[in-house]
Amino acid sequence: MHRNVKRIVLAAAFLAAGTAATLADELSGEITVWDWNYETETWGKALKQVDAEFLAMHPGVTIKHVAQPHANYYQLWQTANATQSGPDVMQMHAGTFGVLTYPESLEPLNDYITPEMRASIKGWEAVAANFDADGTIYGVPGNFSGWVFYYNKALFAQAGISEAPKTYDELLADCEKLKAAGILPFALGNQDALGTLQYLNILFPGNFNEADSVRLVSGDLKYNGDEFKRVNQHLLDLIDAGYFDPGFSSMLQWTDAVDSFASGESAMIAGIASDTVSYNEFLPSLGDDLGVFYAPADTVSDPYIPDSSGPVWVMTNYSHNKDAAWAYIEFMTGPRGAQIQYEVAGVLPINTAYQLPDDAPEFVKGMVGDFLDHPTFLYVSSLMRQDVVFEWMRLFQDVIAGSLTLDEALNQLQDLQDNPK
Amino acid sequence: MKGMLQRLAGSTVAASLLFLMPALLVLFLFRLVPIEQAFYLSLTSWNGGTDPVWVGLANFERIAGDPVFWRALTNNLLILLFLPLWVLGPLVIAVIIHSGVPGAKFFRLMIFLPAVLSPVVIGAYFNVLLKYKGPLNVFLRSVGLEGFARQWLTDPATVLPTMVLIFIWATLGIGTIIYLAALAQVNAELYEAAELDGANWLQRLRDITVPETWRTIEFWAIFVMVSTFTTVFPYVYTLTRGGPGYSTYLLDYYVYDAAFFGGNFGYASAVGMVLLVLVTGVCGLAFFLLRRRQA
Repeated sequence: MHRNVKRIVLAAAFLAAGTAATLADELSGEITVWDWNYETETWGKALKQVDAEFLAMHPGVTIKHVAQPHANYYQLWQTANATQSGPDVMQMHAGTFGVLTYPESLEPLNDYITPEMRASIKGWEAVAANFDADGTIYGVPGNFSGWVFYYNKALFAQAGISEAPKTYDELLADCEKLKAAGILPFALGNQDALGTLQYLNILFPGNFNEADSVRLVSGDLKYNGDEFKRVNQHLLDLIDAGYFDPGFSSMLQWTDAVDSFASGESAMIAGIASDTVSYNEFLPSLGDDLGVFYAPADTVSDPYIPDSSGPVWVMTNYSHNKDAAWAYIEFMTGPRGAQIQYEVAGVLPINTAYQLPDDAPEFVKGMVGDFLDHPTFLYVSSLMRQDVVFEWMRLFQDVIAGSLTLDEALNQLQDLQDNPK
Repeated sequence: MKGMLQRLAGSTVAASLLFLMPALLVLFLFRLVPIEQAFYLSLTSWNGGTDPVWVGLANFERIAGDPVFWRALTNNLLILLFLPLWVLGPLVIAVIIHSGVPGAKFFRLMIFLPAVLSPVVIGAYFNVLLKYKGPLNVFLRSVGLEGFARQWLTDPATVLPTMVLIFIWATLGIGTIIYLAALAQVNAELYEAAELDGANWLQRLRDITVPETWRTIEFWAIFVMVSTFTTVFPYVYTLTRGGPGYSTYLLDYYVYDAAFFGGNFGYASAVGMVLLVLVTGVCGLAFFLLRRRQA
């Protein structure tokens, strides 16, 4: 009897699996996919391979994959969105930088996400309403990214520093040693004001835990309060102390600063775990000399790693082919998608259903391990309202130039937070 | 009916309307309809995704107390301080070329060249040229003028004048060509007579060239004034994005920024409407000057 029941259950399971497979094969029609990486040399190549494998699995589906320029990605989307002629699936930045600014045009994905997917991926707060991972989910985290300090071990050793700093005070002391040894401590390009924003993102968790981070951006804590001022003052102190290239305000982080760090001209850089300004650009030239450390502790003793879980993948709520769109997102963020993106483009996998190969560089294994083992939380500039972020970027330029005091700038910032346009 | 059609066909007014129709249609579709739409949106709050929400004059009230708007308007007005250089620079060059200096055709070509370059190309070029470690500062340091090396595009003290000089350089060729056309119409005997009377170059410029080309000078001045409000966007976008801070933030850039980065198309439309009124005022001034001249 028991054996018969088992056979019936197995038969039902096979039937269900067969039905699922048949349903999968029944996907058809076109989906339009947007991202800003499709024509890039490495990540674009990975995305093309993902597309090819997805199409092989679903021969009834066609993909219209559109590479949009990153510089005005959201402007283009808003234009298309106004007439609901945008894509079915798109890559977005996490948090308020992308997905959480446009929830009214995105499909809530809670009903699509399986418990297995939920359990194998970290960083759901980055795509969830109110940064609440248990709330409405509008996207699927794509990879481990976020803000880290890369450093040059050889230059540190030259300055007599044996290990990476763990606290802000240690960071200051190391900067001083580097400067004394004739080494430029930091690479920074701030022509577009994005460079200082990266430094803010990394320093911020040293003074704000997860709960306080949300309290700040929701208005319970103030931008002109002592805590946020302290982080800004730290950044200003690093600049005033001459730890950056004197020409940083006319340099770009993505090119000039990367060159400076990769060529060994400077000892540290605020970079991204995956994507650009990442280890992918530094490992070839620095090799074993490349090191990484995370948000230095200040008033918070164990800061979270400022993560972005992305770019993330979302579905528009006006998609006419939601089944195929979801299947694409599921494949892209699933173990095979993660594998392709790591193997082809070095994108750090956030989906633990895919394990890095044994021959992966130790540096990569270490960084993925750090992101998995440590607390991570969305970085502050994707927690803040975006108009407030852009205002901070402009005001901080004025502070650096001496046109405004830090207090004046933060008062103006709080004023905007209180009185949005 | 047939008779009416025949009368209509024979009418000058009807023929004129018929020929004007395509242009009027384009004007209606691509000028008047967008202005009407922008005016409607300026009375709403709209993020581009959901339906616009009617807010009446709230956007305009907010503009009145918006420090960014006033900063942008101030920057626009500061640019007008460069108007004499912008207007008279091409005139002086045109006079020199017109006087037949050796290599005049070559100089005319060289000066006109920037006019055929895209503002994006010009922006990218000057971005490289004016970096802190860029060619200009390298040159200044190499000839012992290190004290003049600047963060040209990122120092609030230098960035606006630098950007305006780039605008002027970019439009110099067009201004020069327009003035050359005007100079060709000036009676050469006036110059000959003045030379016989012993007038020097400056006197000839002041007493003959300027009065004889006054209408062109007026036209060019008005054109430049309107341009400072409406056509500088690509330069701001490629050179500074309005920064550092708000040092080069101009009204047309604010329209773009408020819409696509601020996410409020309604407010951006309101700023756009104010800009339209300002430019209309400048155009009104132009008509006033031209009519006064005609009178």
